[in-house]
Amino acid sequence: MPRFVNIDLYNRHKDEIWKLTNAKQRFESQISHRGLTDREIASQLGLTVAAVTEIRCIAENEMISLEKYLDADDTKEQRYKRAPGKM
Amino acid sequence: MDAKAQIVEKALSLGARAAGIAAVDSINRFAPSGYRPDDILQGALSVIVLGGNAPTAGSWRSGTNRVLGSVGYNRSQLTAAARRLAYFVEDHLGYYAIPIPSGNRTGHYPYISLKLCADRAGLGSRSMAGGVILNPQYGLLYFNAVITTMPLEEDGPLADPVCPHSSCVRLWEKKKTTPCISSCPDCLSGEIKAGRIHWMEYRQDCCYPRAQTTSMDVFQKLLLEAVDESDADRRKAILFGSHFTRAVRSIAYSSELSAQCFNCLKRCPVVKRPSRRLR
Repeated sequence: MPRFVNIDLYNRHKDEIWKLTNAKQRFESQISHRGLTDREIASQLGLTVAAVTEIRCIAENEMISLEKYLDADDTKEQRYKRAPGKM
Repeated sequence: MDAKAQIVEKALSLGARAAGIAAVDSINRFAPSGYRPDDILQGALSVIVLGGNAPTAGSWRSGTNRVLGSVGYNRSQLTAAARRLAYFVEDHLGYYAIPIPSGNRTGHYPYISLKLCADRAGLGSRSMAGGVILNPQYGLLYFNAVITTMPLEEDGPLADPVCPHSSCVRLWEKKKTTPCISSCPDCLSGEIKAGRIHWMEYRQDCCYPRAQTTSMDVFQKLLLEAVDESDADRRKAILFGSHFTRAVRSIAYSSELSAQCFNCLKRCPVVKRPSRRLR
């Protein structure tokens, strides 16, 4: 495993790895829906754990746009004042 | 006083508002390999969970999200309490102990799930609001914990879930929504059936930039934006601008790093309950 992940490897696997993580979580009584660990993802995709960890970490940052952070304060203040039930 | 009572009393004296015990065996039935207490401390048998550090009731009344998210709460006290409790267990009770870091191990993944530990320790149950653990007495709590080799009796999950509150069940029956879902319908979705959470979904990727608006990720993103920017004036605007400045300050002072949104819980009847007696 190189010190930094190969960007071709990253681009090839980032979407499928992202889908297997905790980015979207579902809870349902008596049914397990948890996101997978890096080890479990590596085993499923035939990659090394180190490669999955690197790809996941970069994807977690890259998949959320900078604009979402820059707009967040306005979104939160608007919603803070909104009455429940008003979409 | 037995050892468990001593530990709970010590945790409360160190600043926790609630404390409970989870058994490692019980946690391991749900936690995947690599995220179990005995992956961190060999021979671990128990996890002491501390809850506290939530916003004061006055913070919820601040009127602005920025004040609530920036100055209304602070998580550092509970981290210090967990470390001091770990020393107490080793020095006075004679067992190995290690505080669980509340931060992430790699990327957005934690060392272990403190929500799971809190659930097994009877400190609350998962809510429609992103699975946040709600405590029946205090509503929102943050959690820290101490893993130990000491055998302790588990408190176990609550017999009755805290969420949904009866008023939320009535609202669901009438309007098919809850205060948390209607406050943040893009992060949250779910369904109540027979007065219980039937299912709920939480989009962490949607929540993240709102809950961690000035944390490490945005620091990295703005830094990359500046490095990639060829125009010197624009580069200065990015690095000296208010958002990057807040991000730097957040990292320097370990403040404003997480939980900066609170919108899903601002009208939660369980969270609002403790403030009803205040003037």
